[in-house]
Amino acid sequence: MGKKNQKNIGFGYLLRKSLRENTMMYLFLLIPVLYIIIFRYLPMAGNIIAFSKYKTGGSIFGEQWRGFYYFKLFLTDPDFWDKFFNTLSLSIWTLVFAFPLPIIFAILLNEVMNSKFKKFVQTVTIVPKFLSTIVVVMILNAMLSPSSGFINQIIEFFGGSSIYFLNEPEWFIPAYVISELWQFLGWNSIIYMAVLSSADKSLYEAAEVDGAGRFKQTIHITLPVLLPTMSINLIIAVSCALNIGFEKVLLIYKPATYSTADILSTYIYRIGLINSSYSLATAMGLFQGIIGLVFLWGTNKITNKLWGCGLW
Amino acid sequence: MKKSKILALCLSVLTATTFLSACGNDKNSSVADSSSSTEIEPITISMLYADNASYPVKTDWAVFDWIKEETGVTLDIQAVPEADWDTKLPIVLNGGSIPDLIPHNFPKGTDILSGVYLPISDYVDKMPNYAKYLKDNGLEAAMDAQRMADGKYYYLPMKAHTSPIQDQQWLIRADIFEKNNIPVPTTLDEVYEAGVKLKQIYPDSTPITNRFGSGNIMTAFAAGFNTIAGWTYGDGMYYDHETSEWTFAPTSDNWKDMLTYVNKLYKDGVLDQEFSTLESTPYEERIINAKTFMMYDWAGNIKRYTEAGVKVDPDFKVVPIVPPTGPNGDYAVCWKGICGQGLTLPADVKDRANFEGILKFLDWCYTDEAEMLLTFGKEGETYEKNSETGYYEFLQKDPANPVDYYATYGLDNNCLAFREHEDFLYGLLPAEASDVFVKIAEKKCVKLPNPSAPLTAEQNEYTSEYVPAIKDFANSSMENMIFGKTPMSDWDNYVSSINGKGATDLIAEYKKVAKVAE
Amino acid sequence: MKVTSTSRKIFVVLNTLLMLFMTVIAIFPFLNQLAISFSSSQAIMEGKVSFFPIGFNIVTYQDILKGAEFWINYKNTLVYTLIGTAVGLTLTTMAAYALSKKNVVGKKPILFIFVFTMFFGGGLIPTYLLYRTLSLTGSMWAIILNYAILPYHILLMKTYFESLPEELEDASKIDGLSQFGYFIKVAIPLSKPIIATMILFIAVIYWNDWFAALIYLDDKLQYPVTIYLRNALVGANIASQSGGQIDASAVRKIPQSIQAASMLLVAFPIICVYPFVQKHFTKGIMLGAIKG
Repeated sequence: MGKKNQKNIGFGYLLRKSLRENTMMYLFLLIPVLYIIIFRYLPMAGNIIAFSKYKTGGSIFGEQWRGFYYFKLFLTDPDFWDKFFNTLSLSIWTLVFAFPLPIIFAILLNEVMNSKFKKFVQTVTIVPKFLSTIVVVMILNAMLSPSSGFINQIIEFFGGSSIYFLNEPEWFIPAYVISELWQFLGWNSIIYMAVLSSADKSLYEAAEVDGAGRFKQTIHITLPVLLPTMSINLIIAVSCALNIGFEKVLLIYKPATYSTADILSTYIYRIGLINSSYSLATAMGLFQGIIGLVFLWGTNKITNKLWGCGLW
Repeated sequence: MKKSKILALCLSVLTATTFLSACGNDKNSSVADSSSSTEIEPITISMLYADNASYPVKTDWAVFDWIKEETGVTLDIQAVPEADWDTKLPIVLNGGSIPDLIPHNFPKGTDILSGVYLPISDYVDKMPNYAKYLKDNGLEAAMDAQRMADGKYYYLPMKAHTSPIQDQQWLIRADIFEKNNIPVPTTLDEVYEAGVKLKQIYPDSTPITNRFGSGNIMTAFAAGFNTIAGWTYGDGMYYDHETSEWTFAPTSDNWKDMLTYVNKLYKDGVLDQEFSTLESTPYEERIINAKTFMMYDWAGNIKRYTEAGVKVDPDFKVVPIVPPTGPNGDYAVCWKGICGQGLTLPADVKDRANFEGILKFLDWCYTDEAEMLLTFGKEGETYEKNSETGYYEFLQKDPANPVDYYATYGLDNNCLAFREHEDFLYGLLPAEASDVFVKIAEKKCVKLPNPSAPLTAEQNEYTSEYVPAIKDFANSSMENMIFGKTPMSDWDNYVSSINGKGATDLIAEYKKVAKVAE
Repeated sequence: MKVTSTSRKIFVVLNTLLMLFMTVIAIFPFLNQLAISFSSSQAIMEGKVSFFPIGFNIVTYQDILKGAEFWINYKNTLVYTLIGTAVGLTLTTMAAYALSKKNVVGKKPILFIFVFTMFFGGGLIPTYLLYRTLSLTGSMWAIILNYAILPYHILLMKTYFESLPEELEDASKIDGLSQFGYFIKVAIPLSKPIIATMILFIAVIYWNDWFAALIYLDDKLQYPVTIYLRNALVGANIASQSGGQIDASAVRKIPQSIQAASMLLVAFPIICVYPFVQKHFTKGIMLGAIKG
């Protein structure tokens, strides 16, 4: 008790001191915090319908108290857990490739000496981000078509037999991950390019004088510069694992590939569409949020331990 | 807030009395027609509008002026892109201010039960022209089938076919069939035989193809086997109009026979390997480049395919055929009416000032006069009677630069044309094709749809917990059995799994209702 | 002095090849769309077009440029992006900068307040009702406010600000610079790369938005061009994917050449912004020089 009190006094004192010294900083925070409270926190009251029955056009707080009914409903549903693990494995595979590759790409691109060529590569590789998902899916369909697709023509050229990729549950994840990489690799490397340009040039000069090779410079100078941003991206990517790409999955999955391709967001979408079951969808959303927070906490711990940096 | 409500009430009472007195003396509908055009009271009716990108809505469309001239109604259009209609509609329904009219919408059972829609069937007596339209065209039974457990229905039919036709039909490459002396198939078995022959002659081709997912073509096959699948699946319960019984489709023998048949088509290369994933572009490529010869498609597309096709092969000819029949003589074509549109009204519209005006307007939309005006426009200006075929057609003064009457006039619009003149469909077809449609109508190939589910609100809430899971399982098992990934010998396993997912419960709920009815 | 070993040479060659490969695979679908936008519909329907236009014509572009609505929507997108980016950048920079200062007491809970919203939202309908109560629906401010502060952007910026050496601020204090003065005169100029990146990130979010516009706007003339584009591209596809029924009119789709041309017209300006952003990356900063 005594200790806690002491801490409180300490905190109050520190806060007052800080308020005095950093008045400007608190003013900076005033509008953003007000904004987030009004536009993000106020509507959260609507989450109460996860515990009560909501009627289309009815009260936003629901009509009838149901307690944990909706949570029990999906937590005891084996289908839900199938989708849950589908989502996790899709996220993990996406993470394994989509997290490190933009970093490697940024480092390699940074090694390009001809600045015009470098700029050109950089500009062109962000282009796929601006193709609409539906066009990306059209391209994917065309490339992977068992009858006329480029990939299958290569397979057949080498004597293999064509594979109907988009109809095979086991090919869904590779197809998804590769298309994600193609779409976002260039774009996701931008932030690393930006951070790299802030690297202290004198350090490289000093390393050169010491006779350190390019590889060593990368490990000892470049990576540490990137670490804080890497850890942010890793933490966010892991904690948003359950909220992974809805639109593209919706366009490429089909009943024959449900067994690997049906993820939580598409499942919720279909349930919502058939039933207008807002309460159930809200309950699932809360569940996703809790898992997200747990992942956030866990990854933050890990990055803090491994790299010495995290969200806080 | 309160003040405006009271005002609205007073106004609605006022308009109600004027309307009722006008309505009282015209029990017969020919008078109703003329009276609606003589008494013009300017009112505004708001409408949520599903905007199709190929004919984006414009406020200066002639059709809006014509509606105003005839009825005094100004339509206040709130355009929602059709691509995202499903996202926006719930926001509108839940957001507190719902427009007066919501077309392009077959209401969902759960939403009806929550009371957000107006039971429009309560107001049929105020819409004499609508009642006459139903009666004259034999649509009363179809609409009665849409009544919920409370005995009311909640939407008005739009673009319902008055004769038993269905504009989505089996199309074949007639020239290819003729050249190779293959008779036009009349049964599904003949479809298979024709396919096998065509595959031998053109090994590069896949005789039957499909787009928009397996749901599209499976709908037709299912009808041939007297069951439902794909787009007609619903909750999986199928109503047999002959025996008046509900059965669970995915475990029925018919369903099993259907899968055996489609699996055979697939295995022997008759059905496109990609039939469940093909997109429109490669699909059309296949049709035009003679890579496919049979498809289940909209008759309105024939013209487009032919225009492009004859440039590749001068003989190119695509025609619809009378749908082939299944083992028990059922025609393999989607049931009637489902491909029309539904128009809904919010429940609170009855308290709005313009409610009587809305009913009057809706009633006008079902007159013969409105049918002509909204499908074809004005005679001499936008349409004429084709002296050869006897069908009405849009005027095209310069065939090199045809006028797009959807996009420039707003005619035959999905949200505005309540009745579609059938000449419109016939006019799109080559002469021999329209004969086929006449035959389809004569032979009554197209079945009636399922009546609405007879479940009560409580039952509905209970079953909706497991219906989606059953549907997912039925659909993925269906595809897997067609692709041969799950052998047909696994049927019993499949039946017990689907029953375990709640199908037994679903059937029991329907049985309960049947017992109560007895 | 340049050290060029054999392994370095091999690396440079391989690296250049890899970069070329990346460029080619990134650009080929783009070229394909470009070719389609200039091709005749007959050639497209026959599936002949790959990387060069067949039956070259510019009718498609003329058709699009004729449509008044396309341009009104295009202008809307531009306005929303400019205002949105200005508002978003200001708020994000302020919040991120304040949260990057070590001695600001209470910054951890405040940061958590932001991050928490990444995981828990209010749901679409309650949020919509809030905007409606505030009379924001039907106005462009609904869109601007919807994306004004994204926690992820705050985190990225904060991380960057934290990498600025503290000694600088101490030194500037001695020189008589206030906290605000340091922010404007020293911190901002040193943070050009991240600010440029944020401008790009925020601008792209506004540029590509269709969702907020769909939810909060009712008038077609207020829509951004992305709504038109989505409707033209997606058409009936989404409906059929979710198991919905397609009717005859939904099958009427926009010609592929128009789809491709609209997509390119929408993507082009924002891609053109990138080289300007990039300029601020390559300059780099010599922190050592300042420190020294």
